[in-house]
Amino acid sequence: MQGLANILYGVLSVVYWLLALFVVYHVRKYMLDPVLASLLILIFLGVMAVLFLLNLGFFYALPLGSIASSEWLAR
Amino acid sequence: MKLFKNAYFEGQEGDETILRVVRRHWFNIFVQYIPVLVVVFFMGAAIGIFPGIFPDFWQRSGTLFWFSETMLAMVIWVWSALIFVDYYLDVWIITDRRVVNVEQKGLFVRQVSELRYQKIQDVTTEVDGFFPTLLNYGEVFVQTAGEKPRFLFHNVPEPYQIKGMLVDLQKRMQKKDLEEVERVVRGEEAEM
Repeated sequence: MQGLANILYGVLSVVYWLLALFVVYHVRKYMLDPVLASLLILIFLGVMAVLFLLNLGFFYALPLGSIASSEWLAR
Repeated sequence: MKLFKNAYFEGQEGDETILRVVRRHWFNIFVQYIPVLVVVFFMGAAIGIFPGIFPDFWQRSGTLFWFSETMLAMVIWVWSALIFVDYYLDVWIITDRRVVNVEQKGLFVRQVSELRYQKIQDVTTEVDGFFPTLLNYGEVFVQTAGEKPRFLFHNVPEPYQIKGMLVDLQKRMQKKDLEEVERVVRGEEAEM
């Protein structure tokens, strides 16, 4: 269970950061004002990183073993 | 003009000046953000309500709840960024020589078309509906003699002002062209 969850979470994280990369690429390349573009990228990546770290923390705190057991579901 | 001093777009000609940058009206992006705001509202409400309604579940699975909330927050943040990119990079750039239309559809489709003022045949404005009338936004259609028969400014603010600007620039360009032709003719006559 833990292994599967780790793989799934890893894939989702890669997709998340790939999307971030595409957004940054577009803003950096096509935005008319380079100063505003840098500022927006900074805010965007900052919030993304904070959310990701929080989520990662909660993910490792999850009682995955007990969630998978029927005992947890029955309670 | 001072506003666009630092602005630059791909394909801008050396001494080309940006006169105006037009984006869709803010109401358009607001409508797109409504579902995002609804989800954010429910996320906030869940934080307030959940512990009271399901105290047992909260005690047992608080971590699962916060994991789901932060996961949803991540999705919402990326979704918001995609809406913003789609809105902000969808732009009409009016310069002293032409209009450049950049159409951004999601992250992977981007169309850039341009219209020279000499090719403008007719400009029409359409403000249709309650909100467009109230907030003064609408469509500006430009009939052209170019490859693209109709050039569209979609849901833009102050459509009448944009129409006036385009007509004015077209007249100026025509006048400039006429003067150029006259100068050439005069030059040829002088040579003879």
